[in-house]
Amino acid sequence: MEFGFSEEQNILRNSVTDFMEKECPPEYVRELDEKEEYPHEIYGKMSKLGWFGLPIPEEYGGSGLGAVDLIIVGEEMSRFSYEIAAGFGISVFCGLNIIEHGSEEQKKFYIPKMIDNKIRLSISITEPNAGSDAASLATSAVLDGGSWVLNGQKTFQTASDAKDTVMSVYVRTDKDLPKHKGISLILVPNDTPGVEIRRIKMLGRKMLHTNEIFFEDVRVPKENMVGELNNGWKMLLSGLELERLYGCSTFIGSSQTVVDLALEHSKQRVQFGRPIGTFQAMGHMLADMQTEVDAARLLVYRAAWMLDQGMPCMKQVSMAKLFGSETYARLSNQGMQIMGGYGYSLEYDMQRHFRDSRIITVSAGSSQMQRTVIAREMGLRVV
Amino acid sequence: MVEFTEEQKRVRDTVRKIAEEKVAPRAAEIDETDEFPLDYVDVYAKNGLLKATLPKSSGGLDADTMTLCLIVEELARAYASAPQMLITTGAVLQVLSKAATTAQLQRFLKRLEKGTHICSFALTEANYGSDAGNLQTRAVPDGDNYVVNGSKAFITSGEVAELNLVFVRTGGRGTKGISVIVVDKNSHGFHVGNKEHKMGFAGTGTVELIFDDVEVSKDNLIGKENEGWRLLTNIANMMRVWGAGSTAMGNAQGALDDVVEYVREEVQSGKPEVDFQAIQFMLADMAISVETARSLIYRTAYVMDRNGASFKDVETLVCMSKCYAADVGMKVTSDAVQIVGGYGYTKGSSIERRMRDAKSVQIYDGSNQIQRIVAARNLLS
Ligand SMILES: Cc1cc2nc3c(=O)[nH]c(=O)nc-3n(C[C@H](O)[C@H](O)[C@H](O)COP(=O)(O)OP(=O)(O)OC[C@H]3O[C@@H](n4cnc5c(N)ncnc54)[C@H](O)[C@@H]3O)c2cc1C
Ligand SMILES: Cc1cc2nc3c(=O)[nH]c(=O)nc-3n(C[C@H](O)[C@H](O)[C@H](O)COP(=O)(O)OP(=O)(O)OC[C@H]3O[C@@H](n4cnc5c(N)ncnc54)[C@H](O)[C@@H]3O)c2cc1C
Repeated sequence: MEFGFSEEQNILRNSVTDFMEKECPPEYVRELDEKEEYPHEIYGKMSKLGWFGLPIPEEYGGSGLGAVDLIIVGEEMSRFSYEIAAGFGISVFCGLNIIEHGSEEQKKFYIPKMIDNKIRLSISITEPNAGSDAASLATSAVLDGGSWVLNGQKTFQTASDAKDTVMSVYVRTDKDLPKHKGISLILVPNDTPGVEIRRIKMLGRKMLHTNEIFFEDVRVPKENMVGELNNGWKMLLSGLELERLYGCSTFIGSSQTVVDLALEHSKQRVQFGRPIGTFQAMGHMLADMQTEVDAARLLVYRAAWMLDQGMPCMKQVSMAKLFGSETYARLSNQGMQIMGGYGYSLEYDMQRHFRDSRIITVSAGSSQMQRTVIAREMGLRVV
Repeated sequence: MVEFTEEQKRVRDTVRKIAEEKVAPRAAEIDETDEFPLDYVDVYAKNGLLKATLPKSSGGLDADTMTLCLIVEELARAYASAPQMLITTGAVLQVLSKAATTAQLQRFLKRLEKGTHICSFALTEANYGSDAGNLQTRAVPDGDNYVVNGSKAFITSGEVAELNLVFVRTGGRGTKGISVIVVDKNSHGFHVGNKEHKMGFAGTGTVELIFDDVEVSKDNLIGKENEGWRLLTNIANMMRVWGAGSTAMGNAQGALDDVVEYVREEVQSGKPEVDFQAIQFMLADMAISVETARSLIYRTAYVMDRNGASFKDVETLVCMSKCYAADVGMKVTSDAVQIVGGYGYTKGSSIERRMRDAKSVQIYDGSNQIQRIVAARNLLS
């Protein structure tokens, strides 16, 4: 048993914290949330420090960090802003997918641009009729001369409208194969003619935006296909552990901030002549909250460690996603309760946590889907 | 056990029709603009709902607790914000009809006829929420008047209220130095302050009220000086069952309705969601908890209307109803988002709105912690 981090990891954590403290004060986050603006400015600064290359292998201009390193980054970043950490992850993981499956030309073309913040990458899987059952996606791509021609519709697409975004679009390239087999991955710049992106108004995730995308005879060069034809489903699943774990790390950082905000309020707010945190109902609620954050954190750390050791860890990752997402959602509700009317007010940050956390138990593999994965790993053929 | 009288059924059916035809279609827009819905006021006024708690002799409906529960439940089922103005107004008129003199009551009712009839119930201050017993807004006697200074926070309907029932300090510290006075919105020095920007409960006109040397006639004191806290605990707090409790439960019922309809449609379009036990069981649990909350609320109303039980028993039932219904409301509306998935998180659906609105009920009208404190105290005493 070794619970410590390496010297380098501690330095990494501190550098992320220092940067975020300086560049990402609460007012900045509040402003972006209110104005519903993509965090271009801070991503620009991060890219100057090479952060978008942190997990990218060195030969492509990155730093080649491992899973534990990466969750340290996600945890610290999300303590300041869940959305900024989430948006960072989307670009980086789409980049890793290109590293894993793309051609040499694709890697040389897209990865440096992504690292330098000249482009952003987003992911397009979900469709109105393909949510949890993503393999039923129907957006089609047909080869016509030297181009793929895309038709169809995607929905709930995070950040696909940010300027200069290249979308990783999963499409159906063979209708006759079984549904998991006829899927491919094609890169589509978001300003390609025929692409129409419409904002969906959502309860939260105001910075990153959530969109519907319509593809009408959208033509991209043949070379924009990543990996082999009809091999998309495998690509979608590959690297899923690390991607999910990074997502989990943003839940624990955000949950910790919820506890910190509620704790601070409970120390400052006096009712009946005492700080409300000194009432057992409040103090114990906070104790439970911190316990849950730590439990979630340990699940994430363990899974990341296993991943770095090359051990199979799908079950552990799913547990971390299930528990971590439920924890953030539950805690933001309790945090609001502790802050009373103030927590419900839009002038305070707690409501943003409440809003942003309410969907993470659905997106990126719902709690129900995680439970199914865990149960199957336990040997049950759950239907 | 629950059998409604003909009158109760009549009111419920009328309100259900109003809720479906007038309230529900406007919910999304009000949620977006946060504007106080004067069109609701018109409909409520036309149907006598604003005066529901007044006796027939004063032109009211003389509604018993059960009837009030049904009114609020039906409206909240369409939109949780919708009954809030009826709750504040109803509570104020209830206090007036039970504790004001006949002359006072006549005078205030005449005054209300000139306006919208909306009243606010102004207890909370920025520094005194749960601990309202220590409130600091002062009313100092000066000849025939009180001079009122201070401010109130989070006052529902305060944006438009003609009359405000204000809890003020007239005596020493604590609950024994509090009185209740009525402050007209046209009083000199009275200001409606900032609107509270809230995560939910849009269009309920929640504002700060500011009192800057407001002269209020001593004739506007309700009951005896320094006995205001009794009016709160003995009369006003009872609204927690038909007000907050029925709001939470009606809103939860609405969420359940919405989800059932959504899942049914999904099934028709060939989506297999409802085949999944995990989802079926969530739906069943939602229905179980809404039905339990409803049963508790109705039983409490039944006990209150029969007038047989001790104050302590009634108070405990009221606290349990509010607390339980609010918790059910939060859980059921959150589960609704989970079941519907991404679409439930969009602003186009009523689902996310119901979840935001549900949260306020766990906080206001005595937080759920305060309800537990009172319930436990009553159990132990
Ligand atoms: C804010 C937001 C951002 C998103 N960003 C992206 C993005 O960038 N790219 C992208 O491709 N997608 C994105 N999504 C889509 C997201 O991944 C889907 O919402 C998710 O996959 C669930 O799909 P659904 O919303 O259609 O819900 P459904 O799949 O219809 O699920 C509804 C409910 O049914 C349950 N359910 C479904 N199947 C089963 C089963 N087999 N057993 C038990 N229960 C089940 C689910 O758990 C859920 O509770 C985003 C969604 C949101 C809300
Ligand atoms: C939508 C909305 C509408 C409202 N409308 C009105 C209105 O019309 N009129 C009006 O007068 N007020 C109104 N309020 C105010 C409301 O009644 C208060 O918000 C509520 O009483 C809680 O007070 P607070 O917000 O100051 O929280 P606090 O009293 O600061 O409480 C913070 C937390 O501490 C807990 N707590 C406090 N004391 C204890 C204790 N002794 N033991 C254990 N836990 C404790 C609380 O439960 C809460 O979780 C409204 C509020 C909201 C949100």
